[in-house]
Amino acid sequence: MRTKLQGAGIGLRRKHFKEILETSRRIDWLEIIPENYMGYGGRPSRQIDECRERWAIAGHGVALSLAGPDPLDTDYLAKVEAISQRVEAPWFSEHLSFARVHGLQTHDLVPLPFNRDATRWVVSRIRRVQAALARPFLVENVSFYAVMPGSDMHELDFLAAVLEEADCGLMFDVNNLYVNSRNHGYDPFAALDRIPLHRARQIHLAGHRDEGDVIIDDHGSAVCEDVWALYRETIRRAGPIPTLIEWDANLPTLDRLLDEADRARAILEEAG
Amino acid sequence: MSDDRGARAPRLESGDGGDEGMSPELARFFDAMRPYLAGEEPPRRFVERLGPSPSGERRLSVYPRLVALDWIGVIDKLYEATRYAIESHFDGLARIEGGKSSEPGKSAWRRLRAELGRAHPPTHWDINEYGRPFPEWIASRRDSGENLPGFVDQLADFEWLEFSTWSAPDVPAVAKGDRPIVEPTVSVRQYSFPVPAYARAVRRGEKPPAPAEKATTVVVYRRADTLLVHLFYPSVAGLLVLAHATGEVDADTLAKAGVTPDMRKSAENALYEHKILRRETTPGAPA
Repeated sequence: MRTKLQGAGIGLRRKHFKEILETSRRIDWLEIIPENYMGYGGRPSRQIDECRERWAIAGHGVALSLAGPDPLDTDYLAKVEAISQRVEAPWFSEHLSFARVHGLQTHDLVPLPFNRDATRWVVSRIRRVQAALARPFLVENVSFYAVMPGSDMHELDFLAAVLEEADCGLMFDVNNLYVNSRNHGYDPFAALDRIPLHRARQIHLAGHRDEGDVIIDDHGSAVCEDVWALYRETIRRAGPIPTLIEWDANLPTLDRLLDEADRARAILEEAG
Repeated sequence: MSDDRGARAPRLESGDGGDEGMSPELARFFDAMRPYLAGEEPPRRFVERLGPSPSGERRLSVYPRLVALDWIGVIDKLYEATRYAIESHFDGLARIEGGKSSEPGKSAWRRLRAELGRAHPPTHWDINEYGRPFPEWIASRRDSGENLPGFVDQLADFEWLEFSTWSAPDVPAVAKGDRPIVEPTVSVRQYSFPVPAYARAVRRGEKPPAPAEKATTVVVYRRADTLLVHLFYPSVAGLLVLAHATGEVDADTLAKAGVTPDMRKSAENALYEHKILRRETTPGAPA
């Protein structure tokens, strides 16, 4: 029987394709990166069909370039919608950033300058994405390493303005808030007051890499204790929001990944 | 695959497709972003164009570094054996253009990877598509004077073929008249080096020596039951029987080539056994 999208989920990754179908451990739900399946047959295609029989699945894009200058790729969006229908995803999420500029696909998430011009620009793009999808669209707060020239707003005010004006949901990445607080020098717990948590439909937790003068959001390690504390406070304030462990680089065993999900679930259950 | 690879997209006009117009300041920001993110201009030039970042130039330089790492990462994964071959077998790799200069294999791999990014920057939303032009490009590098032996571009071709076979869209297997039904993912390659065995050895963690020249014909396909990529080394008769099944040769050609009915039966049986030929069409496929 298929699960509901609640509790603690994990990202479906190729390394775990076989094991995930064999494990007896609890998995509440899965998140897929649609780009890893769009146009692919064979094992990737079979995998999502087998997984969707057992688990609720949400879609999380990485290549839409939501805030970018190039025209929104309607063919790409149609493919996202098709795969979302196939797995019955309750929503689709993307990042408040761009990944394509004048034909160059960066495959990394780059922030806009935080200002009114950029707010208007990305809000108009979000509206078009919302119109192209038959499900709610969530926007994720991104980690960023440099404030771009031309910025005259705080990143959190920019995020709140975009979500409010576009009237869309929030994919709240707790690790990204923490990484930004370390990189740009603010208190992440105080910052929670400025996050529109009432719009949050899903949460991401992940690990990061400390390079000394900058913290890089690399999804390559376990969630750190500071982020767990911030997550616990988020759940205390906002209630039990479905939470995903994002682990992409240095991918561990499935059991190790599920240990992290178990920990998130325990915090969610404390909140009732 | 996108057909605008490497091309600069037209500048987005205000109000394009329903977006609220982009301000001139934001347009200027994006114009400066492309060369900066591609590593074509240093952060200093970016700052000259747009003004300083409150975070400083050092922080700005994180972005081109991360972008380059993303591109590098996919090539290293898709071309694991090609990377091993260049890094391991070509210490002292000489560049003919430079006359007498030489460089170690690891340095050569890093340089070639970076040159690929400049020659064919990613333009597709699927990051794996960045690897598509690599086999042809590495062959062109050798042809234009890079001291790369023939097996490297054949190896790259095989690695891309394996990946694209593994991920190929599901196409129904259909019957064509009275010919045997062919597994739709089948490809046949003729190499002058045994690159499939070399690539598989590298993936198993072995450290194979550079292969000696040896004509190698291989059938690469994804089995419908396991969804894994399999290899089959056909006999000449097997190759002709497969070509007949795909409609590339007719029965007369088969006979003229000396393939007797017994040989044909035997070759077909081998192809069935390896599931290159199928006894049934894909359920729901047109008859």
